[in-house]
Amino acid sequence: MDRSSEIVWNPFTKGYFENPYTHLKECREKKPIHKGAHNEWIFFRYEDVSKIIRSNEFEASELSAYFQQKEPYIFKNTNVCPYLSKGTQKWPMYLNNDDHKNLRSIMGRSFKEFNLDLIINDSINILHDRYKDSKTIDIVDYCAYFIFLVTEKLFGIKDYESFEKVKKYSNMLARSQDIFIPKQVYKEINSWFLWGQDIFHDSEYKKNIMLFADQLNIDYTEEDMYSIMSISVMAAFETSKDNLTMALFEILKKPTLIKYILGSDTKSLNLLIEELFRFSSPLQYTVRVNKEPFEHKNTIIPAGSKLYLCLASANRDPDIFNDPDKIIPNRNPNEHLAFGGGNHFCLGAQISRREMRFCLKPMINFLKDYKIDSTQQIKWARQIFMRTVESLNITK
Amino acid sequence: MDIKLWLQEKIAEETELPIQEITYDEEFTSFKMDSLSVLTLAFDLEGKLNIGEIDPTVFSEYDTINKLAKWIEAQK
Repeated sequence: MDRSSEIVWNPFTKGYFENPYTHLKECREKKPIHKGAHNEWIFFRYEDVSKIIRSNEFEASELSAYFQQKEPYIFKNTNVCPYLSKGTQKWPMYLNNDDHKNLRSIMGRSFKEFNLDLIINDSINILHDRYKDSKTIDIVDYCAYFIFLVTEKLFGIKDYESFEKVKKYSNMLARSQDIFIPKQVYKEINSWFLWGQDIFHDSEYKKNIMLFADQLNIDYTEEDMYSIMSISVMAAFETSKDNLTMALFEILKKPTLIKYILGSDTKSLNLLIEELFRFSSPLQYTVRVNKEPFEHKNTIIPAGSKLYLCLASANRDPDIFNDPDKIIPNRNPNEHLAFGGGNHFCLGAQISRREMRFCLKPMINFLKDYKIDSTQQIKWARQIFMRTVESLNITK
Repeated sequence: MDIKLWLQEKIAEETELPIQEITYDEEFTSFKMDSLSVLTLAFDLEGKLNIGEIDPTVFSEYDTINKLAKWIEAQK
């Protein structure tokens, strides 16, 4: 039997969390669409991922409904208040139809009301003041603190809430959408959902959400509002922090990239930023469900199957990107799928782009004399859908 | 504690089946363990054995208490 047909996607393959791309390449080359161990279908090629993500034949999978079904098991024999289903009930990436369309429009308009450029600039100044005398910097903390400063102002997180707690809150919420999560971890995530109920001021953002919802005659309950606030923080915090951390990690390793950034104009900087999104793909997978059965190479994929679209693999597909495992600063065109696509295209994409456009030059200027300690073991989190570094020190 | 007994008790707890129904040679799927309860068992097993991260797909290959116990023995 040809061994190449035996490969099955398994994120627990040795070394996957440190570098998923070797395994993903093997899957993409040997079996670009196949059924995984839990009856999920995984797609690795750009062409397939891009087609499904943009098609109306497929829906987002419903996370809140999944939790509703699993909560009796997760919280069996405990007196904990289950909040996983409620907490995720208004996360737009898991909604469909009008509920999704309306919330996207409301959240999008609510963001636009802010002077984001000013917030980002202020945050960089505060960040660099905090780190000005540091000989050693943990880049993960550095990036997380910057994003914390931005999100704190955007969403009105109460002053007394510590950076460390909000960082943990965001990470635990992000993990709620990961796969292969045992109930012990779901219980921990649940406790963070409950903790976060009290961290928000009546911020401008929250008021905007209520105002724009009102204009559409939508009446969100308090629980809906908290679900919207929680996804806003998690989405703004987690992926931005991960993307920025991985970007700085790659840049600080390569003096040519440092030089490129410091000498860049707006256009060349923007090209590099897109390339960094492609290269790091902080959201590595997204899930769709097929409404109708569909046929793939004489196999019928039944309606209602979970389709895992591997954005990380699609973004390294050599059929689309030359030298996909290299950062080519001025790669153009660069139609990467780091933000997904179609009607679930990442709502925070423009915010993330603006953060990168404003922060990259001053950050590299500040960090250019620091070196990555090449002997240290970089600690990658055991996360599959959202790739995350846990800590990474640089010194000068 | 004997690992087979420990697995038997854990599976009984997860599935709410009487412990005598959890036999050593029966496949885990026949106890109606879904993927979430398998992961939960894997997580507890990691804590108990202290052998690092367990690939949850191990439970598909070593799909009875007897087979899994042999696999655990081989890891030591």
